[in-house]
Amino acid sequence: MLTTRGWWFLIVVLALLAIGAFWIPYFTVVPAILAATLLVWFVYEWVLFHTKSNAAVARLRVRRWVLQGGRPTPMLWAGHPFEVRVRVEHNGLVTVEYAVVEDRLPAGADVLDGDPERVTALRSGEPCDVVYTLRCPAAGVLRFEGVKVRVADLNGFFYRRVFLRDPVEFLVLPPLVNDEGRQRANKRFNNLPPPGIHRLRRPGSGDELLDLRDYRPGDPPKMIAWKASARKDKLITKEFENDVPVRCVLFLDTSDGVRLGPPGNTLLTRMAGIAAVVSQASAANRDLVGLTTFDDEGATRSKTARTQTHMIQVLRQLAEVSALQPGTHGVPLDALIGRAHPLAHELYPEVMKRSSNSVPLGRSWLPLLDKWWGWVILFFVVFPPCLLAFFLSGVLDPGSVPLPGWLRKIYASWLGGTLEVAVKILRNRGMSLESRLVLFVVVWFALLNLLSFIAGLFWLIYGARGWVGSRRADLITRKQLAQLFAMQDGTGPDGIERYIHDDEEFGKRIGAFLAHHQLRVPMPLYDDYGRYRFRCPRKAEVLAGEIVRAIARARDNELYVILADLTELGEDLEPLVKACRAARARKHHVLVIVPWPADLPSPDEAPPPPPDPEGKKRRRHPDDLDDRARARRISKIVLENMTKKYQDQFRAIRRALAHVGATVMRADDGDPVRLVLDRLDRLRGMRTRR
Amino acid sequence: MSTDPREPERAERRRDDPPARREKKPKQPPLTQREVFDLLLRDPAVRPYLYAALGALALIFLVMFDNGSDIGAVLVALLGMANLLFRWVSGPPFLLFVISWFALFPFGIPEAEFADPRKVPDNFFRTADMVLVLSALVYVRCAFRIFGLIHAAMPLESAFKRPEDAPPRRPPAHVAPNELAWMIGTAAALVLLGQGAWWLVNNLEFIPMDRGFPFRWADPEDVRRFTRRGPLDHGEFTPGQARFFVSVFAMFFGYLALRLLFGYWRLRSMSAAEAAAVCTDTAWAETHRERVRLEKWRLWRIQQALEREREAKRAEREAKKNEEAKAREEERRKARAAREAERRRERAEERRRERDDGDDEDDDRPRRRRPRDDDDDDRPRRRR
Repeated sequence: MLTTRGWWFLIVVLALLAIGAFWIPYFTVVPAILAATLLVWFVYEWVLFHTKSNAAVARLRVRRWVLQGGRPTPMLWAGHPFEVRVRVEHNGLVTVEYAVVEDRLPAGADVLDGDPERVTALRSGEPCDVVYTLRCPAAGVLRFEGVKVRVADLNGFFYRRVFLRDPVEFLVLPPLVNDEGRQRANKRFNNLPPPGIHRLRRPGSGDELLDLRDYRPGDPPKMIAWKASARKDKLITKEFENDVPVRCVLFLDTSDGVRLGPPGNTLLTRMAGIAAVVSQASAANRDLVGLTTFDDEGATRSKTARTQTHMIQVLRQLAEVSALQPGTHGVPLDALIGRAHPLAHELYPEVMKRSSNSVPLGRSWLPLLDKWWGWVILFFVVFPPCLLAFFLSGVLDPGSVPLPGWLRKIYASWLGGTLEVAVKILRNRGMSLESRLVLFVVVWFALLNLLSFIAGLFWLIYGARGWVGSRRADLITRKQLAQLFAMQDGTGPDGIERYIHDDEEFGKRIGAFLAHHQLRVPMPLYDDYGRYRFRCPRKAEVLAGEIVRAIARARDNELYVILADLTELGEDLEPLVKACRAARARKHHVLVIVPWPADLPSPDEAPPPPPDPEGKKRRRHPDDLDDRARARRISKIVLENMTKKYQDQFRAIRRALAHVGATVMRADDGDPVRLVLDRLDRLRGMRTRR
Repeated sequence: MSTDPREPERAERRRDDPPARREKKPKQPPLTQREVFDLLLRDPAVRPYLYAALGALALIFLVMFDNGSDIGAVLVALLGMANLLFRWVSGPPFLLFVISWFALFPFGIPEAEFADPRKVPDNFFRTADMVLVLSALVYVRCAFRIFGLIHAAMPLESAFKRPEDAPPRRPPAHVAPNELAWMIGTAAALVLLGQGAWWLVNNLEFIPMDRGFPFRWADPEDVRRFTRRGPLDHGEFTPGQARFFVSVFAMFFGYLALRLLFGYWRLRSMSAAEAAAVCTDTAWAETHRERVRLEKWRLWRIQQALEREREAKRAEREAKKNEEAKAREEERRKARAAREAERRRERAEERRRERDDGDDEDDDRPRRRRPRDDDDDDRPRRRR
């Protein structure tokens, strides 16, 4: 509450008051009067601020409206600006002269116009409106946490921050299709069937002739091919092709590997964008679209349909998966705490402050007896006084049990030795006899229990280490977070202690907390052995299972569009290859779109020529002497090698999948949406053979 | 530079990539010195504060000059102006010390001055002192408000301070038109209150041994009590001691009363989340020792279970390895036996071929088959 400036001013005024009122009042009274006046002023400001703080700040309320196209909306569209209006008001009787009202911006949105922060005076009944315009560049979930209100007096002595929590989430749907996805709803060529229909070479009710066969009783007479019947001199029946709708099933990878990156700019977001455009274009063509999202643990599927409701459902699903964050497993706990603690302080100031979330000093004491050797120390602390007491009881009460002879002998010599040392220490001291006697007793007693004293000192130092250094700060940080989590989980004090002790549970809970509040953590991409941590090898199995399931339920020839990051899978791709082979065997089409990192050269580009070994002799490089230049050079080499490896892996999966008839393309290579739509057209007009 | 080829944030971006997120910049970067001068001298909202502060400095200058402290007056005026112009936030409190120093030593040099106990009663509500204190108070208030406008109006909280964060300044447009008038008016009232407080602590006597209220009014006509020296009556204090006790009493009980009042008010206006936090914290503080023991035991059990599981896995791995080794050994033995048999068969075949080659080719009489050397078993043989 009191700022640094306030503390310093108070200290100066009190010092001046002490000097002026109690030291020099008989020389001059000016300092005393001055300090008294300043102190009265300070108290006046303090009372005023507390009054306003309790009467107005505690009564603040917030309301929020999100408007798109001039009206409140429950969902937003990516790429389209929308207006946010926040109203803060209170019904207290006082006025807060200086307040900074700041709406906390959600992750993944850009401010186009206005300012989410406003400096204002909060008067009773007069709302303070904060209006600004945002735009989400990509699909996802937009989470508004609430409004931060900071209040201070005009002199900067007192300060209070409150966070008016008003958590609300808005789905940001992928943008409606642009010209590219706005497909025609009419036939472009006469050899194509109407939109939404494709020809299946199975007997049905289509328009195209499929076959002629002998008449069977029960065949409708209008199906008799009279000319052919006359020619053959027997009844021949016409069979027509079947008209079936085209189905496009999108398989979207949502594993941890594609969730990496800044919000709104992940591989998953890009793939979801492609999926959104494809699905909308297909729906515009009256084709049926289905969406299956999968990761390395399971899959979520929606049936193929072509209604408007279904399309909105698909877009919602895409928006939800776009907001997914990678799991925090493997992230160092310190990094997680470093992210979560400031966030918790910002969003839950009333729970995180010291008055409601503290750590007593005794809790930081490091218990020695947790270690096995702590009991040895305890023995050394307790044993000498006990031995002395036992020995003295034997001396004072001859009837009591004596010490064993060997121990008595040793202890007697120890008594004699310490007595001599005590006498030597106090021999030449110029003190009175009484003082010398008292000091002698003290010194001798200390020497007798020297071992106990040393062990006790060790114990003290060991335990007090918890009060200094980073241990106490770490414990306070952890306890504050643990209490917040325990309150949110409803686990109470049990949960606090569990989170303090159990690193694994604590790490998981922090990950959930950060994911809930959409805060990303820098991820270590490679483990200690240099392996990529986000390969997610099981996702190939899951995807293969989903494809097989789709094949099993497929009615006609379908198009399976797989949007997945498969490059790192390597050997683990085999189940997917088998599933693709099965799909092709059933005459389905498989199109694999692999996201490609933005800064990586294409694998189809010609590799740079290798350096001429003759032209350049190996010499000692000047960078070898400069560590930073050397590190730069090494990282460049590592990057080149990793790029090459990545390209090789892509080529390998392309070869493997192409071998079974699946088409593989990169998301940034040309226009994947156009390719998918062309493929659908081909599927529509294709004459299949069964 | 990151060595990760997947990192999408790069300087070179492709055309079809989404645009980079805007870098967060401080909303209010610190002002340059020129901007500070501009704001102080040209902004109509800030300028009155500057003029009020300079006016207060002029009054301080006059009063100190009148007291014979010419060097001090100049020094205070210069220091006061420098504080404002160069944003020395610690300057105003320091200025109070400088004023006090020159009030004590008008020439600035410590000199042996005799203490005069009459100075206390003679200086109650003295005009020069009141003007000086009012000027100092107005200056300090103006200075802190100006710092809020040109430097920082509220602190940054270190818990979530980011590098790009700058302390927020109060915008000049936020200054109310009547703010300065109110400030000077309250300053005058505060000066009177301060003088009254000083008068009060000097006119109350502390009598703790008295059965009634431990304070009583001192006789205002009795100036001799300020000059009282030597042993006092039982339960009486010198004016200095009484002043000390009255001050401490007033500050302690005043603080306590305010704290209780505002503390209770705070409890009444506490939010549910904060109340829950207080209750949880209290419950934890009362029971954390037992819970620590339980948690340590639980973790120890988990560790033991993990250790056992690891041991079991290791044993299983070892057993599997042994089995595999045995199987390999068996296979090797079988392969060796098979090779041996094959070799034997080849050798026999070779011997037979040699024998067949050695026979007379022209002699086509039927021959009786001779038993082979290595056919020492008595198994039935296939007839040719």
